[in-house]
Amino acid sequence: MDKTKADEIRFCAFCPNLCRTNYPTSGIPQREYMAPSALSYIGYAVLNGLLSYDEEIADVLTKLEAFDECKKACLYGYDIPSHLRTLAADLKAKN
Amino acid sequence: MTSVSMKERQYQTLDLSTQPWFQPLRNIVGEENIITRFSEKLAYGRDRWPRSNLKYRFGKFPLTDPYLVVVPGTYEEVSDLVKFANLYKMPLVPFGLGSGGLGGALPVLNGITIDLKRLNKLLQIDEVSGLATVQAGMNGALFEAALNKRRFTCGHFPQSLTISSVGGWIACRGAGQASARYGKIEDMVVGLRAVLPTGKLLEVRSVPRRSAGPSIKDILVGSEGTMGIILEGTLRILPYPEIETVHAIGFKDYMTALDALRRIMQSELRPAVVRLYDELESRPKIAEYPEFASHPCLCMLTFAGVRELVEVEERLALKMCREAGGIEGNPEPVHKWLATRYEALSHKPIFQGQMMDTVEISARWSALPIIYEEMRDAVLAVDPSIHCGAHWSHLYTDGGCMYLTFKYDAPEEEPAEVKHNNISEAVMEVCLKHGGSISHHHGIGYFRGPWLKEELNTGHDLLQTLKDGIDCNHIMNPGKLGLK
Repeated sequence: MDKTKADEIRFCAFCPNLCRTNYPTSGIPQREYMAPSALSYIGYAVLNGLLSYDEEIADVLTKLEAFDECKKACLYGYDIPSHLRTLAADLKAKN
Repeated sequence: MTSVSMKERQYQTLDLSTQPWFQPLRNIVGEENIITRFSEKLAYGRDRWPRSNLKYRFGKFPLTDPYLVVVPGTYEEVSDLVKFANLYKMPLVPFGLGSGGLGGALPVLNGITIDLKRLNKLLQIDEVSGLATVQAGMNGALFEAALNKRRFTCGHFPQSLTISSVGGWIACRGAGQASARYGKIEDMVVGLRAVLPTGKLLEVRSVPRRSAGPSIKDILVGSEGTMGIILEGTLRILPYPEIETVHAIGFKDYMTALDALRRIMQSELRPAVVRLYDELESRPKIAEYPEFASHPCLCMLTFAGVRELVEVEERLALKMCREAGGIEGNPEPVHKWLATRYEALSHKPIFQGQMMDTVEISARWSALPIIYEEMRDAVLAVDPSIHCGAHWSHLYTDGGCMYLTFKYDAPEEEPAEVKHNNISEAVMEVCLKHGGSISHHHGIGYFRGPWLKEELNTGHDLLQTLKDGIDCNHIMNPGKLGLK
């Protein structure tokens, strides 16, 4: 993963979910682990060796439905779900 | 404080089939609403307490991770969960949107976190009475937007508006940026429903006021989940303001400005926003506007409401500012602030490898200047290179809130924590020495518990005795507010 994308994931991992108002209030599970910074943190942690990549991590990185909505309200214009999909594909290929 | 490493936890599997409590728990919320996977529980091991994010940077939990997380969808389920927790002696931690800044939503013991996000409905708007009833898990900005559609406002505008829940506002006894006009959350909440630590449902019916014994509502408002789980609140709402005006005033120094603002508040004027920045915090805001060069302390004043009233209030307030030597400049700094007022900025310093925290104390007018001077000295005594500025907001006739921000480089975990402890200890000591309150609106959470005991003295014993009585198994958010 290139540095710019990794940096954007790291930025998002510690953002307090400023895009949270776009999280759908129905039709999608209301779960903190589906909030943008929670998923970005998983990406950050795996990229930095703080967590090991495994099936469970691979699965959670597919739960991007709410994130796809939230990204429309990202104040910084980042498309982190796309980065996480790239990361997940890279990790899957390596493992 | 010992740290639990995430890698250590990642492969500690939870075999539910062997747990006698799993079937009863499944009967309450359904298996689909029980979260046991490590990768999913991880989101509940931090909130926006800066120490949370420092620890997460290094792959550790600030305290610990929850044993499991449940996501109830009804009040009855919350009640049954609390009864269940009593039966199995499992600690419970309520979790809204996780925007708290002091670790209030973090598990201290390895218990159950209750995610309240499914309780996210606006239940009723009573336009005649000016009341809205809303569930605890509703996003604050969505609540305000729904009111605005009906030409009402709640008037509660914390910086965390878009990232916090209404239940979190109530549980932390919060205050918004326009508190001088609209009041704080305890002024807005007139009724609520909650589940007590026994599992019983409590209803505080909404009435304008009562003389019917001590306020039961106020046992819950500010309790941070230690006295029960707030399910919904009924809040006062007001017609959307007819007009809003903004002013940027420069003062020669913060003391002169504080005197002017005291006079405004003691004259019973009610600006919506009153914010005064010290020179350090003013600098970036006024750099482009030369008129402030000789008056480097920026004060923002906004007025909102019925046109005629706004015109009178702003005329009188601006006159008082001028009489104190204030000069009115380009209002652009206020417009810029208004445009970004909900952009909580904690992630930017973290991204740069820094540690940033804030301390929002309250004190009487006569103590505010000495607290400011001594707090700054105390922070700089820890390390002169620390960035340390302040502003004053949330003003009253008798005093106000001083909001100190400090920031420093934090390339390594342990030295950053030690420095954070040293700064916090030093500033809390100054506040308590001068008779202030250690928290104006962020609450106490986990981190400030030890200092709360000193502030409340025997009042803290009273809180513990009350909690012992209604929470004999100590299941309700133990370790918060310095309570068992």
